[in-house]
Amino acid sequence: MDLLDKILKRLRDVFVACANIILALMLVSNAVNIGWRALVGTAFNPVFPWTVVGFVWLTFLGFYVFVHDRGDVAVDLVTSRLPRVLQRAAGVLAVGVTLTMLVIILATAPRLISSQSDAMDMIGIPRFALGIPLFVSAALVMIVTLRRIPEIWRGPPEHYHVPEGAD
Amino acid sequence: MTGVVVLTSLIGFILLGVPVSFAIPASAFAGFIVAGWGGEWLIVTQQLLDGVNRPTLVALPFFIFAGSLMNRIGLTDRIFNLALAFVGHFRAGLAHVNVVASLIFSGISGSATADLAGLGQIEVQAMRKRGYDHDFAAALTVITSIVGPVVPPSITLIVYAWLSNTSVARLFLAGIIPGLMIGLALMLFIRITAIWRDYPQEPRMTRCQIGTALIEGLPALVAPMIILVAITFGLTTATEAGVLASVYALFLGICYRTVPARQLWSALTETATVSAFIMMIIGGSHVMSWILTFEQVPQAIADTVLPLVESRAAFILMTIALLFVVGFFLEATPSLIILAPLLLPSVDEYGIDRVQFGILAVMTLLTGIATPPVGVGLYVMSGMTRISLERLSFAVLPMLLPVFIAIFLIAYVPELSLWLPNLVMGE
Amino acid sequence: ETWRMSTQASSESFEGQAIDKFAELVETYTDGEIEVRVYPNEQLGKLDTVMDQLGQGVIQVVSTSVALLGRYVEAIDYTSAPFLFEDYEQWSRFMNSELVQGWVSEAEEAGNIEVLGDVTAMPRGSYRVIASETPVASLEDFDGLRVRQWSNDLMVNAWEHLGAEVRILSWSEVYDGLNRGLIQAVTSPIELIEPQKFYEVAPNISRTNEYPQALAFLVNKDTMEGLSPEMQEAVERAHAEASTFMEDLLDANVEEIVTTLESEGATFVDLDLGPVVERMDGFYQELDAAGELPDGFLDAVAAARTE
Ligand code: NA
Ligand code: NA
Repeated sequence: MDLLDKILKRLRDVFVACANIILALMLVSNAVNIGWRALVGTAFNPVFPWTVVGFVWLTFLGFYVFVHDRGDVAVDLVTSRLPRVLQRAAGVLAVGVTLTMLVIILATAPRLISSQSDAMDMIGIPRFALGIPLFVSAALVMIVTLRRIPEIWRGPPEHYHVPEGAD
Repeated sequence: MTGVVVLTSLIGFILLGVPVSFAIPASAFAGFIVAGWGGEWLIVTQQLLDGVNRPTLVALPFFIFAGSLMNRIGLTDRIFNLALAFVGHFRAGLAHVNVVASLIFSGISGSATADLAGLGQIEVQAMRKRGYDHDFAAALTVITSIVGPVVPPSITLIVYAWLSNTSVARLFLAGIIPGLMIGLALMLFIRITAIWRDYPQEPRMTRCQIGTALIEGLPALVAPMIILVAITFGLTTATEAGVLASVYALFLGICYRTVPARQLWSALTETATVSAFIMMIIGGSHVMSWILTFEQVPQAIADTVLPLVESRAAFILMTIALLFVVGFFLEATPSLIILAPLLLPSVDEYGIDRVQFGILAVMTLLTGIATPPVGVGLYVMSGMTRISLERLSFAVLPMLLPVFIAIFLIAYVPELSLWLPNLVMGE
Repeated sequence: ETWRMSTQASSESFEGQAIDKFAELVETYTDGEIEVRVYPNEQLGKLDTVMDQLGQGVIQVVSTSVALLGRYVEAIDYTSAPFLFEDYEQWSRFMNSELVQGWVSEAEEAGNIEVLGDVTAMPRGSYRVIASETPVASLEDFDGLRVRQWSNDLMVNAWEHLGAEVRILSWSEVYDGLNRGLIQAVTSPIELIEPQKFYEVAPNISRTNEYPQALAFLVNKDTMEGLSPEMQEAVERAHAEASTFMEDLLDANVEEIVTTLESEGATFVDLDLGPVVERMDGFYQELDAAGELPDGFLDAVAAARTE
């Protein structure tokens, strides 16, 4: 499955690039807006509403990135003390819960898109556009989660946080 | 019933190792099923989106970026040296710096998460370099962030002013002394802890060393001042202040020639991942808060608890306990919106000043940032430092003691919050 | 059955009191068959989301500004266009014109909702004002004035046309923004100046009659259609009576609000609205010429104004 991992990694890089560009645009446009207001006295009013859109997109793009990079926080206080069999059971349950949430997000996407087709104020694009990166990320997170099932079987549950000292 | 299911499944999921950004919305979904909304999946996604789409939190990535950049250009070391020059010869000097830095920053931002994101990295790393326990440094950084929304400006206090029909100006003034008191209480705590834990105390610096540290550290001190001036003179909103901090950090990086493009890129990446993680948690909490509100769980708790008390002192005690417990699960602002209207009639009945009560309520709810299972501060710090959630929670636990001493003082000594607004604005 | 009703208002506000009255009357008139549980203060979420939930039948009633139906039919945005009407009467005639009623029906269809009773039956406030640091007494005083608006193209363009320097700010940032001089003025219904404490930082208040606002009660269509005719009638009656209750409440209190504000140190400023309305006429003519306004809009406005 090396190829799949490679693709997932490459997509992660693409998501990072998109998120970074959005963030950079948010910074630059706001900096210009602040400066312009102070020096010239007029404001670019669409900057703030667009910044909020960027902020939402940034979050959802980053969602895939932090899950891919095992940046989520999980607790192993209990599971690390369980016998092997129960560890596996807990691991499977954790994956089950994760997948349930992803299924919910993906299954509701079509209805959400059809119910939020009105344009956002001052932005002009439909409201559902906010959620598009969430749906794409959720699909990818699902693949990543499925891909990690064998890990649960092989050893003690691999937790989502990187071990101490990794920084 | 729904409340019980949501809360137990949340704790259960987290203990079974479900990643928190999934455990929170999943427990909310368990509540949906029990409440008979199992088929209405759409609400889950809707509320997740709604929770993330929050204009008041836009400052977050900007402050994170500024913090990350300041780290990369070596400003951390300069701040560290500066702190050393002034309070290094105290016992646990840097721990005190952590408190003071948050107090300064709280005058800039109305949000605890912004404090954590902007200063957290710098504070923890500086303390760690000087031999403090990693856990202690991280926990202290989490607990000190709660002064942000008590000291003005504060988004939470503005919301309370609207809910309670009290003056924003009065509330802002009322928050100053309590905010400083939390700071003081934490510094006393540090002083006492330092006695039995062997925290570093540096030799007093020579005049020449102090001078060098001052000159080198000056740019770091200028950052909050620029922001403070910009906000005070109405050049930016509090939301935009983070942009200024970022621009300033970038400017310093160019001056020091220490930001190659690669560094800049990785600072952006770090920002995107950290703020995405925080916001996914906040989005998930929003789903949970929806189902608990919908099923009127906080009301049910208040209705059960309030009739049990008959005196003013008991009411205050009960309120503190109630808000502390609610803070385990909900964020401060939604809790306030749900509970303030329920509590205010009793507040008036017992003759408690609404301004004092607001400060008390906000402070108590804010401890929720640092308490599991849902504590945004804990999650952010755990994600940032890779310290496990349970270790961090245990490390924070003793630090709640000085905070609660401050809270009780404010609860039972009204002058602490009311003296300043009465002095400035009249009775 | 239990109806869940979402509102932005707090229960202590006039709006909140009228909504509680509605809830109480519905219960009375339906002999307790329908219980309305009110969720104040936007507890169930932002308006957009709440409207989605209403359409889905997760909640049964939402009370909100009529203008919010603009999310279904864009033309409805223009029913709260600033400085078009001199009083509530004129606006009411316009709202009940065939043109607007057609839009409302379209919105009901699109949102799977039903609007209770007459859309203008329940006024949302007495009138709109502008609270400012320095007195706003004439059209010239708008020049360069930093006014807060929300992110809505029509409002921003209209205020810029008046010469103001518009700043977009969320409602919760307004007080602080005024305090620090980021903005110099805010527009609001007079009823909100006191609870939001705007007079503390912007003590000059001028009546603008910017646009009349009504509170619409939106009910999920399936819920409404599932009721027997008697029940439907009972709900409509509760709404009509709650509307009268609100009108009386506003009438009885508007003078007291003014007195209270004055005693708190606010100054009421006389603003000459003639030139303002005249300047805005130009704005709407320009929009119309550019084909931006809905078909027949200005004609319907003119008809309502002259009747
Ligand atoms: Na701190
Ligand atoms: Na603050």
